[in-house]
Amino acid sequence: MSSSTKFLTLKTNDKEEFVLDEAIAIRSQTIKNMVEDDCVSNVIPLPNVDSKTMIKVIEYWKKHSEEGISKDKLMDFDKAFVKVDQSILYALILAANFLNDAEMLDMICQEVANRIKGKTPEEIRKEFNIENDFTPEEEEEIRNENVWAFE
Amino acid sequence: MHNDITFNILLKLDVKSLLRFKCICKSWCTLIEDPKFIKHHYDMSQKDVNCHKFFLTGGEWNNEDDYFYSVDTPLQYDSVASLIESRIPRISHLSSLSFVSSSNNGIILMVFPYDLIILWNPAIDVLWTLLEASEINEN
Repeated sequence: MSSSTKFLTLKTNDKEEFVLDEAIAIRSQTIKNMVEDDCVSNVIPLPNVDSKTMIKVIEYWKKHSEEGISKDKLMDFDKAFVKVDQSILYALILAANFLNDAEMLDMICQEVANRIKGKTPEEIRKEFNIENDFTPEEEEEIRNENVWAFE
Repeated sequence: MHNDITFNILLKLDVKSLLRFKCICKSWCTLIEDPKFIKHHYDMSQKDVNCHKFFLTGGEWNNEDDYFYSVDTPLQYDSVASLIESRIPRISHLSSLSFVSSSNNGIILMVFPYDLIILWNPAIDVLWTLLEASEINEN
């Protein structure tokens, strides 16, 4: 193995290519597994990620790979990083899930949780496009179990 | 949304939101009631000092000024104590409590003089009456 920096080329589903230091790219467990299993040819296809999302992901990876960066700085970065529209946040979740970056996934899930915390069930259904499959009677029964949670 | 992503998001919610979100749909309800989820959620809350609470009780027997408060941790100069209203039947003054003990799983054991032993889970506000005097006398 050579000690020089190795680069990987990642190709998103809209055919954009990103050349990235392997040491940074393997923050993705998915990519790491591919590298370790030696199934990396020239280009790694990322069929579940678009380029707009990948730019954000790489921004995150690079910041979190900076040498000697303080915890406070990273926290400030993370705070600003998740201040994006809902649609971008959800795209990032799916990307982090596909790329299997537990740290990033955790951070974004926390942000989603913070955003939905005070909401009503109706608002959540609308936001996540969830169909209510309870009968009105069943729903009533569950609501009555914990009336205080709705106050 | 994938089930494991939903799992991950729900893990980071407070208990009150979770209880409210049980009625969103069947799959969320099943997930929130799943013992594995509950255990995981509990373990995470235990590690996070921001989820912990202090319970304060005081006052005197038959004293109208008695109190039972909860305070969020960590304690800060602007911490707010919120009054807990008694939902325990026939007990108007929680300070008549003769014994309180908390276990390591968040359940509080309360013994009232002579006639009542109650387990209380403050997170979901559920009470179990273990023993009442009439039952003891009958036996």
